[in-house]
Amino acid sequence: MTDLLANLALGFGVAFSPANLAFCMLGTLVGTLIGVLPGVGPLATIAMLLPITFGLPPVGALIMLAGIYYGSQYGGSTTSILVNIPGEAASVVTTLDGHQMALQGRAGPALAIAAIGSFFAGCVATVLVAALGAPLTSVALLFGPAEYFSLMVLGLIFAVVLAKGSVVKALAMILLGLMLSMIGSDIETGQSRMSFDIPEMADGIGFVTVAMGVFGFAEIMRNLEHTSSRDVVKAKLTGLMPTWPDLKACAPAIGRGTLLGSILGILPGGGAVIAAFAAYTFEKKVAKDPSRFGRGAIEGVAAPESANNAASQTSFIPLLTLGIPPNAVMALMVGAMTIHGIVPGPQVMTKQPELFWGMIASMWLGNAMLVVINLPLVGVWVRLLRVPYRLLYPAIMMFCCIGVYSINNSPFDVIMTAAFGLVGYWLSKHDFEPAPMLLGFVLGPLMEENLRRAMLIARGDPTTFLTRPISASLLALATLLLVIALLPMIRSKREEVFVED
Amino acid sequence: MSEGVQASSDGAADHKRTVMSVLAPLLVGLLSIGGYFRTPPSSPLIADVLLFAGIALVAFAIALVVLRWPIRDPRDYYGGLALLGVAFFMLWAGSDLPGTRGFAFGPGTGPRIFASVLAVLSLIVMVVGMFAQGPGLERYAWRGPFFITLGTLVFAVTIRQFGLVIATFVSIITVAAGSSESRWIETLIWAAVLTGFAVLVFPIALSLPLQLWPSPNLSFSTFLNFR
Repeated sequence: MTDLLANLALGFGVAFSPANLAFCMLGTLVGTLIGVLPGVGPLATIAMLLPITFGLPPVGALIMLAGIYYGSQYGGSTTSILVNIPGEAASVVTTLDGHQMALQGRAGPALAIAAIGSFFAGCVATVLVAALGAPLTSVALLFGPAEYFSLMVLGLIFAVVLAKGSVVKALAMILLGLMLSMIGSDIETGQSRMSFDIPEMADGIGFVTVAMGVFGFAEIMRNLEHTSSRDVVKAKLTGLMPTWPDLKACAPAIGRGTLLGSILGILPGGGAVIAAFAAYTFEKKVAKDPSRFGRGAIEGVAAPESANNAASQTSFIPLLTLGIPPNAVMALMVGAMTIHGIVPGPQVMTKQPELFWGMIASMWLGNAMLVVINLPLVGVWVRLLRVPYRLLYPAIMMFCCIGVYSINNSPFDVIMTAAFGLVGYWLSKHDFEPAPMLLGFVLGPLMEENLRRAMLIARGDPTTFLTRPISASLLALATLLLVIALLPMIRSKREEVFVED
Repeated sequence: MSEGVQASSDGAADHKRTVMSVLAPLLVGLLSIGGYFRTPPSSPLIADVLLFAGIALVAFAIALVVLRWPIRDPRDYYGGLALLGVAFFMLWAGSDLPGTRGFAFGPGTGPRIFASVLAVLSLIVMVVGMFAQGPGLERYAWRGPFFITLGTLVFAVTIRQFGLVIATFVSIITVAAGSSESRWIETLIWAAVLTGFAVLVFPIALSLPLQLWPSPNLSFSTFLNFR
């Protein structure tokens, strides 16, 4: 306990330095600014803003990136409430009741409760990250290559099971990601793999290139198919603060959302999206009068918003302790950390305590800033939302192009991004989810390395994954999950097949 | 979201669809057989797999014609088929890499394992798409994707030689052509504003090493060598 306090004190010492405070503030502000744009989720936002952190020291850069992440998520909620267009998947549920509230002239309280709920969830989750960080790190030391490999398999299976849509297609996407990550130099032998003697491919395909292509570009291509008709809430925002009865109604909802979100966030593959959905469904179940939901119930905003913020914060736990990104956004954070020369994993905490704890402290600070910055700026966001899409998307495209180019100063990367944009567009037309692909892409090299090492240690005996107890139980859990997810799907597909004939 | 064009009852469109569903596996199969002849002799197993899979796909395409099999879910069918093609391609592309020696993985082992699993999974997706009813293919818009891609390529090709100002301005205008709602004068002004903003943010505020104006030794040959 005293350790925890000492560590947090160290962290706050780092986070409260004027420079880091400024980075945190700038991050949340810019993150919200981009996140507010309809159709731009946290992933695209972070990818787009990654270059602006290049010049910073590592601690500052990560603090800023974390700020961008929370900011973009909060920006997404703002868009959902005011325009009924979710900026990203996690805020889809917020549109249900949030936009209804806005139509009833209660956009102010909806936005405020989203910020307050997020802040509360952020506080709890920060403590949780701090408390769980140390014990989990010691667990990580028990892990050998076989266990790491099995853990990653479990993580990927989690991602598949919790994703929406077909399990087999999500699995195929993971494999496609793993496949793409193999391109470039082999880590152990240095041999160039599948790069067709193109010098730019020798280093492999950049993570930002793939992420920006399949999430940023493809999303714009899809948005352009529909003529834009956005109805930004016209009513003037009056009475920003929620009333006392509002707060009383929300308090338990915020608590439940935080709890649910924190748990789901730690699980690999979970993350903000599922947390928000689960919290909303749960709230509807426990409500005395479920029919109010979907018609502007304030709990329907408070619970999912708290849950998604709690989850987005606790999803840092597997990343910082085990070095395994549990979802696509965290995968992007791995990319960002590697650019700054930090290898995520248990050693970060012991070797760079000021980075680890500074980042955790700045999570809390970032959440506090969201409340302080955003409530007064709601008017600005509303005005930004009135900018027509035909003007917005060239600006987004410009930032993406310059951003990708500036990572390596390589025009080839820009070309690859364009190619992945088309790939992403095609994938979306065939109902393939790009997120599992990205996760596979990031975990690919790690998985291959650990698989190789484990096999080498076991002298080529593949049963090593089953004879080592931790590894075996992780794999058993993965299999169980997969079976549970596949059974209902097989049954429904079979019905579909037989109905037709 | 639901802008997808349902399988039309129109005879001609139906016919076109059937032809496509046969031609696609035929093409993947023939490419795969082609891969057999271009595989280095060091990996006979991959060559055999490619040959076998290619022949199987060609046979499958013929069977589709003979049985007049209707594709029930074209999204999954073509999606799985394309991924199958990717898996074969990757298998072929990695065939020059040494595989497992003793119990040590070679550089080629990982890609081979992943490509094989991908092939199996995409085959499942494809087969399910033949039997289970699906929502039908969504229509592809050409304008947005075309101009977005073109604008990005323009940026990539011009940024080195012509500098940030010209590259940004031209690519923004190209990209803007992707929306049917764009107006020309507005776009020109907006492109100028954005270019100015980009110049202020990236090279000046963030001090990223970006060249602003065309390089003095600009010539056609350096332009072609834009990398």
